[in-house]
Amino acid sequence: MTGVAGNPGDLHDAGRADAAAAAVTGLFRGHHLELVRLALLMTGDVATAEDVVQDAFEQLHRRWPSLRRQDSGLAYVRSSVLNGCRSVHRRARVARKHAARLAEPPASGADTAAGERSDLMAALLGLPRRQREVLVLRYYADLDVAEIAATLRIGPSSVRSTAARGLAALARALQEADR
Amino acid sequence: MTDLEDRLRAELAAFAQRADPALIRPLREPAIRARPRVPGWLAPAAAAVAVTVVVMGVAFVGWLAGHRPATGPVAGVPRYYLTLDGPWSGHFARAVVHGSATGATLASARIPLLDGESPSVTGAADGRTFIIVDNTGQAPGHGYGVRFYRLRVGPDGRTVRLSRLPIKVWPLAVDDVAVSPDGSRLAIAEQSCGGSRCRYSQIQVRSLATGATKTWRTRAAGAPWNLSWAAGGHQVGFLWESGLHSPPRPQRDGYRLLNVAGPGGDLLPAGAVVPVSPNPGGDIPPALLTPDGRAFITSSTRIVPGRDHHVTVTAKIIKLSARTARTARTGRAQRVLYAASARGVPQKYGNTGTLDEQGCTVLSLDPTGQHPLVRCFLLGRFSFGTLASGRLKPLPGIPNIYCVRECRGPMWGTAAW
Repeated sequence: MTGVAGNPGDLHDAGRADAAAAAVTGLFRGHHLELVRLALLMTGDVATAEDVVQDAFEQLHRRWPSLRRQDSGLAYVRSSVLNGCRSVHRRARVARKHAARLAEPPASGADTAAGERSDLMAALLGLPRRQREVLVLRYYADLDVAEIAATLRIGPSSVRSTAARGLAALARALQEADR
Repeated sequence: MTDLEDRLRAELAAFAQRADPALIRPLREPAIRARPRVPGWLAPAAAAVAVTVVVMGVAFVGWLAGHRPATGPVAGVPRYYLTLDGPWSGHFARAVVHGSATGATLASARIPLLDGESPSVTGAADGRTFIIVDNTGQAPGHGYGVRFYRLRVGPDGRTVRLSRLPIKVWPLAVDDVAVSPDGSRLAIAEQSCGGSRCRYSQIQVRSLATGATKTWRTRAAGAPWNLSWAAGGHQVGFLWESGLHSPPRPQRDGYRLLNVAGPGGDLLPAGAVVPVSPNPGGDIPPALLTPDGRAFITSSTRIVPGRDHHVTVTAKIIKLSARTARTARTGRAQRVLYAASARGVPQKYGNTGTLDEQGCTVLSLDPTGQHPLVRCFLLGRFSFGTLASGRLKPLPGIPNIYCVRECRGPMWGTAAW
């Protein structure tokens, strides 16, 4: 009899928890800043971006054992960050509706900061959600079409057409601004 | 890499620097929950229970759905429906005429594209005239612009004639187009935008024969889209949505009617507005005006989270009174035409499991208004068909498939009859 305490199941569970923690820690060290900046580009607010990324990592940690491909952790957390940003926009929309009902002017960090943005960034933040996501993933995160398709769960052709549409909208906005 | 792409890359990088690594908060370590010890004998028993639960679950989903797509031909629908496939190679899309009874591909035409963006289609009440719009949202020249095509299907459905319409809209941006029931006029939703703001929005009704136009305009922040016509050609239904950067105006936002029999004028006069309910993704579902001009056919989606990451999605096709906003708000003027539910774990289903995408969308209405063309995503199940007696009857030609990783099918603006 060896001196090992507990049963093999405990060790197995502990081992899996350690592996999950190590993997999530590794992803965090390598990509936390990049993901906060991605969320910042989607939400326009640093504190909100930090919260979104925190939630995404917590979710990743919880679901790590059930990930079908554990080498896809970064793609998973990136998708979670984008989903989190969409939720922020939805909550902001609800809040603005309440504000409108109370006949108060809307106030949000994103709106106040708008004046500090270039025409291009202002136009980008005014694009439809999907176009903005595709452009940020392509030109900030440097993802290729296949990676963007996997992250947003849309087809590669949709990525290409959405990017083209987003760029066209930005060009039109800049052209008008220059007049 | 164009100048714009270079500039976008540089400005995104500069903006992202606002998240300073020295100032952002560290990650809080999530609490690790202890897993309860499980006796070894429990595993086979749990497996048996799990199998039973899965079988019961399948039965439960079937019971919940209650309206599984029925099979067989659908009576009283138009003879043809048209779908847009592509873009292919970024240079063209294919317009395909399907026979509604068999789904057979009867004819097709190549639509040349300006820059690889998906075109959209709108159909007239004769069931044989379709307007296809290739819209890049950009200034003409250098491959950009907006092009309008008319596609006429021959009497037997096996021949098509495609012609480009001489319509110029620049410098306005086009958001949506609908052809009148007799195919003689187009309603076009347009915006005049500069920088991050738009100066005005309008709906223009244009005669295809003479080019004569009538215009209804507003400077309110927001945009009209989702256009549809009533049978007599006197009314156009549209959705007005306030701008993203302006506070929503509940008294303005919603499905509205525009009387296009009279002269042009204010796009947003006081009058009945049917309030809108965003779907779980925050988007407003499209709504189409019934031929009698008295109601909108639209959709709603409800998602209820359950245990173990399961959700229950309930999708409905509903009819809202177009004239009595007061009662529509209370739900009394709302009639459910179709309802279906499904329960599952969204992440299992690839792109069709995204909660934003769940639900049904009304793509097109037939001349009677009794048979909306509908597309549904319900936790991996994709359905495309029409309503008949409260059931979603699949139209042959587009398979109803259980999507696992990716699901393809007609989206808003890419199928019509």
